[in-house]
Amino acid sequence: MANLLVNLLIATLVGYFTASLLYIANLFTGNRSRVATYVTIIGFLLNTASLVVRSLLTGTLPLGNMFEFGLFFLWGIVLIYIIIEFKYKMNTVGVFVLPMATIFIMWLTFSQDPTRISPMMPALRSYWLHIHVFTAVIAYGAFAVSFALALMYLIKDQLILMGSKSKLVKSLPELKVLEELTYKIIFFAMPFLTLVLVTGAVWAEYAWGKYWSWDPKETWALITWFIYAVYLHIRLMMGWKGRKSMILAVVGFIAVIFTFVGVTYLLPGLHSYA
Amino acid sequence: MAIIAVASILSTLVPVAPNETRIFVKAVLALPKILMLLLCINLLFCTTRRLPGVLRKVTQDISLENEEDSFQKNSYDTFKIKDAVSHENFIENYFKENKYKFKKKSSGESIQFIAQKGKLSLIAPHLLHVGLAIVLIGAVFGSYFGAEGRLSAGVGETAKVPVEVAENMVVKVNDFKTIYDEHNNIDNWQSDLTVSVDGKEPVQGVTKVNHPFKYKGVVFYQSAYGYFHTVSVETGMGEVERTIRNRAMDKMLSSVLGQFFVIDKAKDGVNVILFETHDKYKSIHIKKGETVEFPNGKLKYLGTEPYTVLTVKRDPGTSIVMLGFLIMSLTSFLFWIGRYREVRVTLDRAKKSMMLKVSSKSKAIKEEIIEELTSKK
Repeated sequence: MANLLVNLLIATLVGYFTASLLYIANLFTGNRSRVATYVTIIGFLLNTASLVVRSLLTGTLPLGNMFEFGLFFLWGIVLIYIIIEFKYKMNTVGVFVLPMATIFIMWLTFSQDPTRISPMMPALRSYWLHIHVFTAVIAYGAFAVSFALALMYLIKDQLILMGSKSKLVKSLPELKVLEELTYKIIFFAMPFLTLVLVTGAVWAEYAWGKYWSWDPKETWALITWFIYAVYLHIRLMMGWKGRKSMILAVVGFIAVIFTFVGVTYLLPGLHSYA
Repeated sequence: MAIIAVASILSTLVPVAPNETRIFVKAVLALPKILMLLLCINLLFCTTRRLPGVLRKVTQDISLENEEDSFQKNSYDTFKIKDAVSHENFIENYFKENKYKFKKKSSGESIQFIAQKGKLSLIAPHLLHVGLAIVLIGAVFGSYFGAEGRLSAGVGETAKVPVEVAENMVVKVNDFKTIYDEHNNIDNWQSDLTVSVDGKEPVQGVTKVNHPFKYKGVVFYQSAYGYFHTVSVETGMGEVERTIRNRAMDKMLSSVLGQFFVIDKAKDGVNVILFETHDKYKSIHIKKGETVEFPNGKLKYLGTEPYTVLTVKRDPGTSIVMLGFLIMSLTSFLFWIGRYREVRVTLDRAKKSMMLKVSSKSKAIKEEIIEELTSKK
């Protein structure tokens, strides 16, 4: 079963990598083919199968450590991307999201040990874990897609400022569309990020007797919440649009990544298992 | 908020020593909390000032009664139309299809519409601010009127709850056990307790990780556990019986009559690691009643009893904080209703004109509505 998991992870990696190449090729050739989308869906199904196999191996939902949450997080990113692509008919976003997914699964497969199964510690054996992590997957997955859109905006904006007439400028969606979609996705994800903080706090109260301990993971999740709250405030209340707000969307996702990876390695605390 | 984010980043990066005394470090750690408090005070003032007006608008029923006055006050855009009757149907259908709440009034040659949508979104930011402020108020309240402490006791023993948490409250530990799942992994740790105040009304309860026990406002959390190992050591210096207290998973070095050893709970007995002048001499698993020998004597294992460590807390602010969290969670989804917009339309049959005013904080929404309502040729 452990070998099957490794094989599925490698197959998912191949799927996402192939999709990345196809999306990049589409961007530069102007091809409107949907093959890249179908390959992404196959990769996503393999990603789902990896989660199922991991669940069978652990005997519970795979949410207990960094590898398991990472696999679920990746699943969330690609799921949100597929929904966005079908809803807004915008497959150029795949040029940025799929390479990100490829790097992510490479890191999970080769730097973490997918075959290592450790029993879940008693504090994690709670239904709050499912609610807390599931809301995090939705929020962080959506923020990853908003990050890709913000990057596209900044690249296109920079190329226009430089007077570039390259094919890339024409192939990328209009700045207004990228800006609006980034906002919509952050607007959608923000309540879930609030739920991540709230469910984590309620659970901590039950498990540790403290709803807030200023643990680095908690503090960084709060920092992320503040960054996105600032983004929404300046856009809604002060009417800031364009470059400044897009930079903030990028900074927000950097905070998400630091909360997930950086805090675990650099600032250990109560959440040292994740 | 940006400053709070920066201050919070700093607070996680500064190295903190146990029992930190440096003023600079303490200031860095306190800064985000102080700023959060200031933000909440600011939010409360802002919301208190604006909430009554918003509530009035939200609870007020949609009306065309004073529309003549509004017509005078508001600047309308005027568009030419071909046929007022078909336009009237078009506008009515538009409001119905887009789920607007609307009213219509005909008087003489004019037909007036007023339509609103997303009223609840007006209140959402204020409720979110209130929720956040309630969380902070609860936290401050708890820090002033709450208390926390720890107690530990072996099975069959009693321990006093720290007096700052509850006066004259005593806990008797009836049992402590480790619960295993079907794969033989640790599922939980459970303490069976009897709690009483002044020896009256004893109440029995169970506390385990994620399932605290509550009694008279005091919450008991399963925090840690350990073992009392009783051993008898015999060396050239004599023979002595000792009970060694070891916290679980914490392999502490013990010394009895000059003999150093580590004793650790294992299945059906204990693991003993003997040391000879700082070097590991022997590691052995022994059962109750068995003896292990070393160059200058012997150690006999007499038995093990578990003890439990409980965190006890009395925090009247927790319910307030949870209420704040609930408000924050619910209202954060209220934003999804969409931004508030109000549309006023007056059709003039005689002049074949449509006067239109769209109110919304979003320019994009305004433009979209105007475009859609003027799309009929």
